[in-house]
Amino acid sequence: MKSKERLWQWGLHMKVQCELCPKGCLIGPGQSGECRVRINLDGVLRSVVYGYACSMNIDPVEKKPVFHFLPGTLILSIATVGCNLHCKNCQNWEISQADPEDSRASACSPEKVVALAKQCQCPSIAYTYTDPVVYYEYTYDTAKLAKQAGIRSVLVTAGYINEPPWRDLLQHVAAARVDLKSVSDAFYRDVCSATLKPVQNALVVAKSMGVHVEVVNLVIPTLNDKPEEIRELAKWVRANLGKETPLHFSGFTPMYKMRHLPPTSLQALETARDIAAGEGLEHIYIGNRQTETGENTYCPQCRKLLIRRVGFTVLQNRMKDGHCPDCGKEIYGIWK
Amino acid sequence: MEMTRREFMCAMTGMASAACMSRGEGVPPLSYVAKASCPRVAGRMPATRKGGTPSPRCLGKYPGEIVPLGDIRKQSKWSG
Repeated sequence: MKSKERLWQWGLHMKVQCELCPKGCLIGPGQSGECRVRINLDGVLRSVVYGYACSMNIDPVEKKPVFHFLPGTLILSIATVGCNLHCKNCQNWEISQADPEDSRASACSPEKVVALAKQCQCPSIAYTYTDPVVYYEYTYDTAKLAKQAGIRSVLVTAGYINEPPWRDLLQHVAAARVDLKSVSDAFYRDVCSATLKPVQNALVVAKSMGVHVEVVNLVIPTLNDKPEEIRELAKWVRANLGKETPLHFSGFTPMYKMRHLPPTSLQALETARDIAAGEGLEHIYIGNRQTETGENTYCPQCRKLLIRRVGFTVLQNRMKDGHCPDCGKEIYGIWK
Repeated sequence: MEMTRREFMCAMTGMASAACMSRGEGVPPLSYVAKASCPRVAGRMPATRKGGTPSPRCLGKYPGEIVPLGDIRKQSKWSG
């Protein structure tokens, strides 16, 4: 980087380029990147949300949703405002698309977050609601401290991040629940103001680093619910992440800039599940809709019920040390 | 000869400088042209430092309203 002094000699205002996510925002003095929370202050890129959580709650881990990770446990969930994507269907747009200046937050250092997780007997911490990519430093420091304290970290993210920082962060993370919103780059560009490749790369990198990965696909009527597209997505997951990777099909609710579309029907979600099953995926779930069996975990070998869920509640867990109690097959996930 | 817009501006500035110097005219217009033609400045900010630790760049103060931590045991209203 050219020295600031030299630039000031020329009487120029220094811009900085953020290299955290593929957007690579070129940020002028006093301005922020697209995420709204990373600003250029005197030629140095700074995070204005470090240590300031806009939401901190204890949720069931099934709410993330992460189904193959300590089922039935509670997870301390934190978020700051801001997001590097601008999905037109965002369910949390009031915080993800908010400016820090217009929002409320509570001061909570990484040390305090870890202490609260311990105090509330939460075995894990989730970085969720918005996207942990934009509060990267806060997530990184908290996850590192949590790991030292024996508490696991779960990223709930869209996975739109450059590879080097992603790899660094994953060293301290146990699980990543990543949105794969579509396998169409046009969809990512039109609906999310992002691109597909970095997300696919983030998924592959996470899996290759031994991080537990679960994929969520929000099925939006008329936009990404075509059977061919669902099939292509399932094929991609199987080929690149493995057939054991859990895939959640979530129902869309009209929200934010997509109030004109209808909610996803249960039938559409069941069709998506059947297509993915036909492509050989072993664990497919239906979310955001009440179903009899859509949230249950079954053994991929003997098809016996392993975990029975309704909503965010685990009603029955028959798993034995990560294995099916009937046929002994090892089930992908983190179970203790 | 093929050149970018900025290279072209630089070349023009050079010629303008020479012309102004020879006529003994003032500096202000020159500085304006120089500023306009100078390459755009961008410092690159890697997300992490060598060794894997994040860069120390928290601001230390929040630009919005700071409120006390609420009841964290209550389930969040936000999705995810």
